Amino acid sequence: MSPVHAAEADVRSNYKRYKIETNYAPPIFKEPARFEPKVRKLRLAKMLIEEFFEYVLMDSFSRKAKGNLTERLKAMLDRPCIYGVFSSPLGGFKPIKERCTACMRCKQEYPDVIEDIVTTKEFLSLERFGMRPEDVMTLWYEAKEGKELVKGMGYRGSFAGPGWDSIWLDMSEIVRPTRDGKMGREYISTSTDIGRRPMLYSNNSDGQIRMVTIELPIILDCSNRSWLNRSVIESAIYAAEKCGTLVIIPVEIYVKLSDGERRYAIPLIDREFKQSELLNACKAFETENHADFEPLRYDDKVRIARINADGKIDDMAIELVNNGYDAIHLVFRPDGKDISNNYHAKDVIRSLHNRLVRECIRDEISIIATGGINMAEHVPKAILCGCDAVCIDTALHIALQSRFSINDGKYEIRPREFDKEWGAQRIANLLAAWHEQFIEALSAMGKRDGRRLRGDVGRGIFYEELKKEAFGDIEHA
Amino acid sequence: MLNLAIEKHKKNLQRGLELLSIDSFTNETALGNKGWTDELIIATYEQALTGRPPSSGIEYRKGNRGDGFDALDFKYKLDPSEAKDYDSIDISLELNRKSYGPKIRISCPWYGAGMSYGSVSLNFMLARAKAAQIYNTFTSTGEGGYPDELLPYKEHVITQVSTGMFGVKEETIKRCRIMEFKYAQGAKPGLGGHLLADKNTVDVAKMREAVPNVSLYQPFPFHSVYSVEDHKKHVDWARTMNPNMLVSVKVSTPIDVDMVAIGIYYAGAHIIHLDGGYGGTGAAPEFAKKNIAMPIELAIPRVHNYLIQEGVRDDILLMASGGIRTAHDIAKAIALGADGCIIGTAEAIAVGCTQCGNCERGRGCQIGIATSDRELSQLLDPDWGARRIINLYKAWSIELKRILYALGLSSVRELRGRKDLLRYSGYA
Repeated sequence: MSPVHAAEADVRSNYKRYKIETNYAPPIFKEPARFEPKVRKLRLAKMLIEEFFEYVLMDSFSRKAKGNLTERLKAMLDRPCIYGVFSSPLGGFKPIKERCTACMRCKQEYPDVIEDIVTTKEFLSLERFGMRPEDVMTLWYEAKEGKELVKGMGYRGSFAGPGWDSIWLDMSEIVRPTRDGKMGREYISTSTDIGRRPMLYSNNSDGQIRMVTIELPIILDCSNRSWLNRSVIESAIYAAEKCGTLVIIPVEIYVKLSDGERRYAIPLIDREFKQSELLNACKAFETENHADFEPLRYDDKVRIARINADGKIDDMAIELVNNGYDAIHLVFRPDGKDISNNYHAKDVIRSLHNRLVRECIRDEISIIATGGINMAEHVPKAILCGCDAVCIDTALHIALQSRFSINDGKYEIRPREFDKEWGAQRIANLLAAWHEQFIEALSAMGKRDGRRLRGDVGRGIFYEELKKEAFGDIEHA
Repeated sequence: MLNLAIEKHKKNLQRGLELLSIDSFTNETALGNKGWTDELIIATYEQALTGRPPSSGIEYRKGNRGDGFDALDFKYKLDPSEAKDYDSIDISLELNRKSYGPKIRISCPWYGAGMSYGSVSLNFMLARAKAAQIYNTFTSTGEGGYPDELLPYKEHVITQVSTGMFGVKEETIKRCRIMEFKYAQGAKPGLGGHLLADKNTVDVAKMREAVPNVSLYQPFPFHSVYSVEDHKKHVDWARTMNPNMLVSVKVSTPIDVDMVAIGIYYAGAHIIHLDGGYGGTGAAPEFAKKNIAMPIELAIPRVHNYLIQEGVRDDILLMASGGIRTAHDIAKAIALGADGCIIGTAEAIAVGCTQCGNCERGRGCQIGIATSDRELSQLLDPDWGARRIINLYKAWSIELKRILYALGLSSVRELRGRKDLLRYSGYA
């Protein structure tokens, strides 16, 4: 074999198309039933007696009874549900509500017997930090199956809403470089680079390219100590390895990890941390206390500044870049608002991205966002506004079936105990489903690379702008 | 399921739909959603039964989406419910605005959307075709081919050609009066059609000339069309096969929908069919339904105004679909700039759909609408279904005429683009 062919063969044999392995990971804590048929049992009994007379004892359809007695009895007992809700031995007297999909057929056939199909209180109590119960169910489905949710019927929600719900993603009608989109043979890249890309080559020691590439623009954020236990940490690290991404964890937990595990971790460190040799295995670190803007320096590790986002971070970001930070990690509230509660993440990110572009330093710092990234759709929308990557925390805990509460306005999460394999698979399934949906957005736009979406607001459809155009000249009530 | 059982359930369903009213449900009911509320669904059942707008006080004009059509009202000069002399109001629609080609006038400013064989049952397709024939409007085959059972109604059936070219044959194009190129669908813009494996039965696969029991995902876009010039060649190809038909082009609603529309005009099509993001579907990713492309209410004014600026507005028909639920939505769409509307979900609800969203499964639709299962399909009688759809059309016709009467207009054409007759109560 010639050297050229050998080299090509080597590339081919090492090439591995990015794919997250998914496996069915059923919930280990029971999910509530969404619907419940309410049956009027006395009327049910009366109906059964009436149907027995009509279909079994007497001629019903014409002068001649159809079928033999067994067939007529079977027809009489045939239940008005294809999902098996009335398949228990007691039939309608004890419906299996877990199977109910609210198709309403039983109500349509027997409006007097079925009082109603109602949404259960247990389902309605699933609201998590402003997320609707339906959204929580969607995340559970994604964590269980590793697939995006495909259903019939059109969109059933509100016309638009605040925050991320005020953005639609564009699509490309004809002209598009991807021929088949997500179903095709062409590869759509979702990898992203976190770090600094200098604009000019420099011989200075600080001219290094400090960058880490992750396979999808989603990082796991396990930095909140009160939301952690051993199960969550082990699962998150393992999932990060499976999915080609990273997980942010407190340094006191990081130091207990093996070298192999540390490769997938971003330790959250403070100024008192002195054991720099322990950072050898990781690719990036994050600091919270950076008031003097002087970053800790550890060779070629990517330096990330973690900041509680408010509307005035643009100037701070410039200072951080000038002082050597490679990425800025904006932390929003769980509802996506900044700490002043005045601005949503979409506006803060857009403002920061635009400011960095105007200063001609956009590629010298990456923007990461945490808080309010709770559904797959938030990922492309956040990147379109200007992020390089997003972090998930609430969604991660929903996938792991953690317990949620709000006490005195403070969000609390209590994780459960579970097997690492199960937890990692749930997280990997969630990321696989979100990855699939991210590719769907890119393929609809005709984009072959997720990096090209960053800050491309021309591919966003913004509700506030379009509403003015469509309804601005109509008299307001 | 035994035949006797099917007969029993069919009889019960038909009777039960006549008995249901809003009082049949509790405040905690799971029926309905923000777009199609429980009242709107029941009101549609009532109209499909009586052929008249409801008079029980039930909300039958709008849903609860909070904006779009649900935040638009008309500035009436008179009270529509007191309209009496409205029979002479003209709501017919001429589909060909060009100086060449056949003239086709339909009795109402709407026709049925494409719902493919496989996505919906043959019985439902027959019900729609019968209704279209009797009411002098159209229905569409959808992207799954042209079943022979629709031949008796071919004068009122639109042949749809989609990106997968399923069941596309020269004879199905030659026999139709209108052909529609489906580039995109509002519920899954940028993605091709979806038919999941358990709905792709042997019969469906045979119609589509595909392999049965595998999921069918159509490509996006047409693999022969990557520019406006390619699109013109596409239209020319179709018109070469059948010079006596009209050509419609169905597209979704991207940010540059106005550019797309003008491209359709210059390619020589007769009808621009805009399908908004909130339209119905037999199967689509929930992500795509909500997040990709814009709702129809925002797209119509953009296209209408642009076509006016280009000086071609009166040379092409603009039809809107995607979330058109009532006669009021139709009137509002026309006031925003459309010529007429294309409806799908409303017809399904007329024959008993409850918006449960299980359509993507093979045995998901419990009453025989969105299923290819032979047994379940029998639950829907085509003649009964046709009567229900015709009654809905009648009710909408009365309501639309009342609206026009109350606005002081004598035909639906006078309503086009009349945003001055609207009032907006959405979020400022």
